[in-house]
Amino acid sequence: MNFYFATFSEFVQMGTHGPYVWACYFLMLAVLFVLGISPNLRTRQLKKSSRSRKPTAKSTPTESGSDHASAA
Amino acid sequence: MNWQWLHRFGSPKWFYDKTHLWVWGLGILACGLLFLGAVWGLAFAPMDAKQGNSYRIIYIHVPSAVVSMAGYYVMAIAGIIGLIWRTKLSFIVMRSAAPIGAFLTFAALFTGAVWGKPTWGTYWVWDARITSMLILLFLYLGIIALQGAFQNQDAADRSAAWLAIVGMVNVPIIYKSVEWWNTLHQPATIKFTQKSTIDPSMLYPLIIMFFAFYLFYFWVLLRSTRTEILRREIKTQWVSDIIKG
Repeated sequence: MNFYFATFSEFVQMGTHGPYVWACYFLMLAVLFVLGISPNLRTRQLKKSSRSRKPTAKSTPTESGSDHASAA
Repeated sequence: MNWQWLHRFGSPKWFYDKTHLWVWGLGILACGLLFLGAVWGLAFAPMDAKQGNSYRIIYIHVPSAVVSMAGYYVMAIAGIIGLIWRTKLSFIVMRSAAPIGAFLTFAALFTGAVWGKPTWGTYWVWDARITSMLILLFLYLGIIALQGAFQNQDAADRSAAWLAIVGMVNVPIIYKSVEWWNTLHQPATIKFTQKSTIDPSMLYPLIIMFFAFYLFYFWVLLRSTRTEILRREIKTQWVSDIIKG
C-alpha cells in the first residue's frame, strides 16, 4: 500500500477538492472532540457543584431550625 | 416469566460498577480505528474516476449517517424498555443517546451538503433522503427539548420515550428513500445481498470507519450514561462516596 499522492502539496490540494474534503474532516474532528470530551466536562462540573453545595446543605438545617424557632 | 434479571441489569449502580473497565478499552480501540480509517481513506485509497478526490468524504459521511440512524433505534428501544419495565437505567440511556445522535446527524448533513457541491453542483436539494435526514435531526432535537421541558423527571422521560417511538417510522423511510423516490442521492454503496459497487481498495477503509464510528458511539454513550447516573443518583450514599473519593 503506497501513499496515493505524488507530493504532500498534492495531498493537501486534492485536485480542486481540498477545501471540501478538509472542511468535512475538520468539522467531523470537532464534532467527535466535543462528543468525546463532554461526559468528562459534565462529570467534573457535577462533582464541583456537588462539593460546593455540601457546606450549604449542612448549614441549611441550622438556618431553617433557627428560622423555625424564631417563627415559633 | 421472571423479569428479575432485567431489573438487576437495569440497576444504575450495577451498570456503573460493571462498565468501569470498558471505558478505557472502547476509547482506545475507537480512536485508534478512527485514526487508521481516516488516514487510509484520505491518503492511501485511490481517487474515484468520476467524483475525483471529493469522494473521500464518504469515509466520514456514510458511517456518521448510519450510526445516527442506528443510534435512534438504540434510543427508542431504551425508551420502550423504560415504558414497559420501568427500569431507571433505560431512561438514562435514552437521555444520553439523544445528543450524541443529534451531533452525528448534523455532521452527516453537513458533510453531505459539502460533498454535494462538487458532485451535484449544489449544497442542498429538498429530496427524500436529505429531507428525511433533516427530520431525524429535528426528532433528536425535539427529544432533547422534551427532556428539558418538564420539572418532573418521570414525565420528561415518558414523553421523550413516546416521541422517540413515534419517530422510529422515519428511519426505514431514510433507508429506503433512494429506492422509493427519484433523488439526487446515490443508492447504497455497500449491499449485503448483492455485490457492492465500491472497489475493495476503497471499501476496506470504509469498513474500518464503520467499526470505528460504532465503537466511538458506544464509548461516548457509555460515558454519558455513567455521568447521567451520577446526576440522577446524586443523593444516594454510593454516588456521594464516589464524588468524595
